[in-house]
Amino acid sequence: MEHYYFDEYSRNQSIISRLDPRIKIITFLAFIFFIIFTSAQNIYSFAYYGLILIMLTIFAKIPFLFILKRILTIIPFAIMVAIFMPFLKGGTPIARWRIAQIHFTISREGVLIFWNCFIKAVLSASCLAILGSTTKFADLLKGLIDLKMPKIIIMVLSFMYRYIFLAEDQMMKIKYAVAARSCARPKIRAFSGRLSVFFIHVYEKAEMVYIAMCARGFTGDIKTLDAFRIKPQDIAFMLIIIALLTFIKSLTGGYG
Amino acid sequence: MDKVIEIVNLTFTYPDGTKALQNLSLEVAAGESIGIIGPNGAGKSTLLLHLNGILKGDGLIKVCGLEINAANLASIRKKVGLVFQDADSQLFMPSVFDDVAFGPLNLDWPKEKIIREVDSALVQTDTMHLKDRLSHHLSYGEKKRTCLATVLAMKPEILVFDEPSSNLDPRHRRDLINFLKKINHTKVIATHDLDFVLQLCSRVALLDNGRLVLEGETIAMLKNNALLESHGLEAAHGI
Repeated sequence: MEHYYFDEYSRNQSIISRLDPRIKIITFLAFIFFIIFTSAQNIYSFAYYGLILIMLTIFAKIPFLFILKRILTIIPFAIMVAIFMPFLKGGTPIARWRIAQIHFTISREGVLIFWNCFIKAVLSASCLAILGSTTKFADLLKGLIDLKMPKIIIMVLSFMYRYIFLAEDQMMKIKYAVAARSCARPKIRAFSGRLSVFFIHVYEKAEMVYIAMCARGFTGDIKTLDAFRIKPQDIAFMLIIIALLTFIKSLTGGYG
Repeated sequence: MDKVIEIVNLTFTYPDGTKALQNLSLEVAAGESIGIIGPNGAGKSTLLLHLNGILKGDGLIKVCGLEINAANLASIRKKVGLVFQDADSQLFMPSVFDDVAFGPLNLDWPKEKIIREVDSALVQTDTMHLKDRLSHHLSYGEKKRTCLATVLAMKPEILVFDEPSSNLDPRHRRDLINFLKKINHTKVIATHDLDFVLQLCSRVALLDNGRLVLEGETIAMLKNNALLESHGLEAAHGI
């Protein structure tokens, strides 16, 4: 069965994948803060951020299509949040029309809010996609532990990552079983039954995986083979990125 | 007899009220291979989960002289390697290497020792060529061999198998039998594949409805057709 791994390019020995996970987490977090605190009108800043991310993707030897797919999984949520803003936010109207008895008005301020959400979501998702795909998932979790992320969040992330494949497998098996016995178009009632069986199966399977983990000495601590050690190139990477971001800020100005 | 497993009056009831084990007592000697046979629902898997401290019933269980309790759990899990029936439950890391290294990492061994033991387990189980493969993409036979490597890498004294031959094709089943014949660990094998038991175990314990019906020498037990049939089993072809 085909699985897509979050950390697919973590073993490709690129400059980015070899960096200390903690430094990568701090750097990309700083990058996201720069993105978030940039004014929506400051289009040049966003273009420069995009350029840095493209360079990082090249250095990380990740195909652009892979990053694009990761971004596309997040964008619908951002769009869902912001899609109504151009219609709901009051301000200078830039377009208006009427359908039946309902008047629609798009305001300049509303469009700006939509753009703000959209571009920041795209750039932040790209940061996370590069970070996630160039860092082994266990190393990412260990890095977060070292940076004092609460253990409960680490455990949730760790199990979510393991169980997501089980869920995928179970869904596929149920789908095949239904297809093998279906002659007509499946009814909604059949779908709801399938969904409940799916949850029960995944729960039971997840329980077995947890038992198997405990049987091999798992006590709740994430352990990795490589001990982290910050090297000069890690510090250099962080300083270069932050210096570039600060330079862009001073060049284009304006935080929103 | 140097006992490595000692079970006295073990009783276990699942939360839904199913009595899985009732007053079960059993001893296993060091280096011995014992087959736990019985029909579906006899309590075989439940018993195996007790040997590693996963389930906790009423009664006494000692492994290598250590009573199973919270204080001894880590030591016992190092001594008892449990190979599950469903290989997919046992392989949960992204690569074969990561899966085999998962147990040794939890033992806090030095990095060099972990790499050495992982490599050794992969060579032993003929899975070295799969080292960097994704665990989920292996064939079932390869998965089973990898599961064996995941426990061997922890250097256990006792190997516990739940239905080891299920879903294996004849070649992989034969390879597994040959491999298990070669290794000197104490082996507890729960199965209803009586041919498998006949080739590997010197002693057999028959379970049904959570009770130990009878235990004894393998050939004598497997020749007792009436006993086997009355407990939902069939005589081994090799008898």
